[in-house]
Order: sequence, then structure tokens, then C-alpha cells
Amino acid sequence: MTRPIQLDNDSYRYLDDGDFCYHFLEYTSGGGFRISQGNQQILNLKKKPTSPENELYYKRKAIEFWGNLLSTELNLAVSATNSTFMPMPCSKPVGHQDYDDRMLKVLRRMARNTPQLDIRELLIQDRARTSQHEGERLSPEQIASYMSVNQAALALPIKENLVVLDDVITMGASFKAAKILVERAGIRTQVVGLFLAKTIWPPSELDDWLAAL
Amino acid sequence: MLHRAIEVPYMTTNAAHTKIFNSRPISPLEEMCAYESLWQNQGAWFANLADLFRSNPGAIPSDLVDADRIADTLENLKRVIGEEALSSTGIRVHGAGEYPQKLRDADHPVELLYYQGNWELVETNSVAIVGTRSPTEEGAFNAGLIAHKLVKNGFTVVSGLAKGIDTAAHTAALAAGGNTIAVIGTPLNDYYPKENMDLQKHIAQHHLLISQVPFLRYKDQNYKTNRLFFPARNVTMSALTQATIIVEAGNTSGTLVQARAALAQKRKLFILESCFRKTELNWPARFEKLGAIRVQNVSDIIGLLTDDQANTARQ
Repeated sequence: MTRPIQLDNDSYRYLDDGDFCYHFLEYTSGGGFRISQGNQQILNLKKKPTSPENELYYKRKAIEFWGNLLSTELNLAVSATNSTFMPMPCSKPVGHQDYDDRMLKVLRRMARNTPQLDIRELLIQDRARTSQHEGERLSPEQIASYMSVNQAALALPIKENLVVLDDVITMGASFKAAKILVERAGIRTQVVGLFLAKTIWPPSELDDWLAAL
Repeated sequence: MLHRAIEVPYMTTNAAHTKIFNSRPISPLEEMCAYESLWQNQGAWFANLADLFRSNPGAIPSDLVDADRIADTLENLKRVIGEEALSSTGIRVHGAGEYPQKLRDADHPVELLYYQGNWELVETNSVAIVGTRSPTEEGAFNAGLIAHKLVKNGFTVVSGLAKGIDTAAHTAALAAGGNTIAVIGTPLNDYYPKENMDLQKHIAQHHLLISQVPFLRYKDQNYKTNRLFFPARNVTMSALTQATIIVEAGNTSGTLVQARAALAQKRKLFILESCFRKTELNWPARFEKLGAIRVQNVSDIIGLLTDDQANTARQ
């Protein structure tokens, strides 16, 4: 059992008082020694869909790992009645060779014994952008400009909690982008950010990172 | 009490949406304050705190302490160690995040650890090198040599930042370009001995510094009682590592606490041949009977440790 850990909004550039975000494990910036469970499972989960089959095997294992973890830690019976789950889209649109619906797959794995869970692809990536960990870091508004709300997914009302699932939180920009679009679409439910891992920096690198901001 | 609740940052809420989780989300700072509060109780020690958590399975510190008390403790901590030190203190709590399951092998597992540095080192293959605070020249040399060889074979060297063998082990590991973890017997913001302050700061910044000693309790107690934290940390050091090497120790050395713990926790315990040659020492033979491994030289140790890894890898 690993309880959800509430994120300290003050430590995240784009999180404000009204945000509720939680994570489970940690991801060391740069991959660290690649030996902690958090690092391994995040690196495997993020493997590109164009990777060779032996690597995709570990990606599938990581989807199972995180899906299982969520199904253990979430009260799925309660969630089925009061929550809509939404995967954070990846930075590439459908059809792009690097398009990756890993967060949707994690949610489906989580829901494998609770099919009544409400999982919707509420946001769609319209155009490719560099992913946050590769290129320059974009602001929430910039990230939002690459995405739109999937109107077809709004046919039924969103439940009282809208749980946004993403793999890693670094500054909260993607989460905030999702929140902006959801609010613009007139959705007025409680948005909850759920992250598999939060990014951490070994102290010797933290100063460099802060200086680069 | 409302004014206080507003001042307290980063505490968990009972917002309706938390019902989506099976257990209440945690805030590390809140758990640290709750744990420190438990240590403020008369007679609190690792054994009875471990009992408390055993009798409340699944509980985390904040389940066992009133919110008001947690808030008071936060104010105390801010006053005693300062907000900056508080924000640079990392914690690991049983039941969440990266708490190391291997700690549960200890007789009285610690529910919460304080740390600074690169936590991931805890997951590396690591070996503890421990021994007397006043070693012979040969002893100090051996500690350094073993640390060097361990580093060259990919191990993280773990020790307790005490004078003597500990210092020799940390220093040699660093000189060999390796990784080291210090498990100390004071809170993170204290230094013992004082001359290791720079070494401790370096390890906290570039490697990993771990303590199980609560800040407030340590501050409230006298030296005599606080001394007990040193052997207690040896039990944790053993639990965190796959083997303990005793380089040199007297009959009454605190190091022997770690020897007992290593065997009880089913960790390998290596004792250098040189200890057996000292006829005035009775503990080497005693621990050998209980399962300790007598080693002639460093290659023996490396061989026994790497055989182990090969076996694990095959499984």
C-alpha cells in the first residue's frame, strides 16, 4: 500500500491555492540511477511507441504496474459513482508516429475489474509540440493552445470530481492547461490532479535547475 | 483555532474529493510534525513507538495525534530548527512513497526517517563499514581500503559519521569517486563530532544523509539520554544495507549493536581476521558462532557479496 501524497502547491510554479494534486512515487530528474521503482516504471512507461518490441514489453509492464497501483489506492466503487477520469493527452496528436495514449491505457488497466468507471478522453491534442521534458518549457496557456475539448465526450454530464491523470508533475503546467480548457468548456466540477510520480532533483542539481528558471 | 488552521501550510484536507482514495492522502510535513509530537510523550522510544504502530495497523503518525497538537509542533519546529532547515528536510514515512520496505526487518522498525540528499542511493547495493571511534593505524587503513574496493565494485559505502572507522570509510569512499550514505545518531541539523561538520554537509549535498532522531526530543533531552540514539541508529544502518563489516571494535563498542542487528535481520556480517587475533576480544568468536563470517582480506568480502548478487540475478 502506498498512500497518495498531497502536493505542496507552494512548490509548484503553476499550482495555486485552489488546486488539489496528489502523487504516489518519485521520478528523479534525468532518470537518476534508474533503480528506484518510480524511476524505472516512469522511464518504461514513457518509452516511445516506435521502440523495439523488447522495450515495448516493459512499457506494457509499466502500464500494468501503474494501473494496478491506482486500482489498489483508489476507492473504485466510490469513484464509479462520483468521478469522471480523464487521461492527459500526450504532446503528439493522433496519427503522429510518437502518438502515445499511455495514460488512457493506465486508466483502462485501473478499471479492468470496475468497467462502470467513467473514463473519457476529454482533451485532444490538435498539433504536435515538443514534450515538456525535451524542449523549452511552455506555459499553461501555451500548452492549452495545442489542445481542444472533445465535444463528443461531453454528451453526458461530468461527475462531481474530474480526475486528471498524468504520469509526472514537474511544475504543474500541463495540469493547469487542462484546467483552463475544462473551465472554458463550462465544466464546473472539482478538478483533481493525479500524478504517478513527482519530479525531484538531487540537491546538488536543484540549484542549477532553480537558476535556469 | 481557526486562525491557527489558516497559518498552517501544506496540511491535508478532508475535502469531499478525497473519498476517491482508499486511505487519506498524506502531507509529509504533517506526518513529520505528528511524529515529533509522539516523541514528546513521556518515555517515548523506538520500541514503544513500534508497538504503538503495530497495534494500529495501517496508521500513519497523523492518525494518532490531534490536529491542534500537530499545529503546535509545527510552530515549535519552526522556532527550533527554522523554516529554511524545515523545508530542506525530507522525510520518508511508512505507508507512503519511497519508504524502504527493508527497514521493516528491524526489531522496532522506525516509522519515519529524516533525510537530506539523493534518496535513490538507498536503493543501490550498499554495505556498512563500522567500528571503533579510536582505531589503530591498521584498523583505519583497512576501513579505507575496504571502502575503496567496495566502491570500485559498485557498492555504496554506508557508515555512521562517527570518529575513527566511520570517518575513514566515508572519506575513502568519496576519494574513490564512489557513493556514500551516512546514518547519523543526531538530528540532521546537529553535528557529532563537530569536526565532521563539513563532511556531513558534503554528504547531505552530494550523497545521502539519514537520521531517525526527532529534532524536538533531542533538543529537550540531555547528552546522557541522547547518547542512546547512537546505537539505535546502528540497527537502522544494518536494516538499510545488505551486509555489515566490522573492521575493529572493543568488547563494549556500540558497533556490536549493529553486529547483533545484522544477524537478527538476516544480513551478512563480516568480521576481519585481525579482530580474531586480538585475544582480549571475546565478541569475534561469539558472533562467528552465531553466523558471522570471518574474512581474511577485502577480496573475500567482495567475492562473497558478488556471489550473492549473481545468485539473486539468476533467481
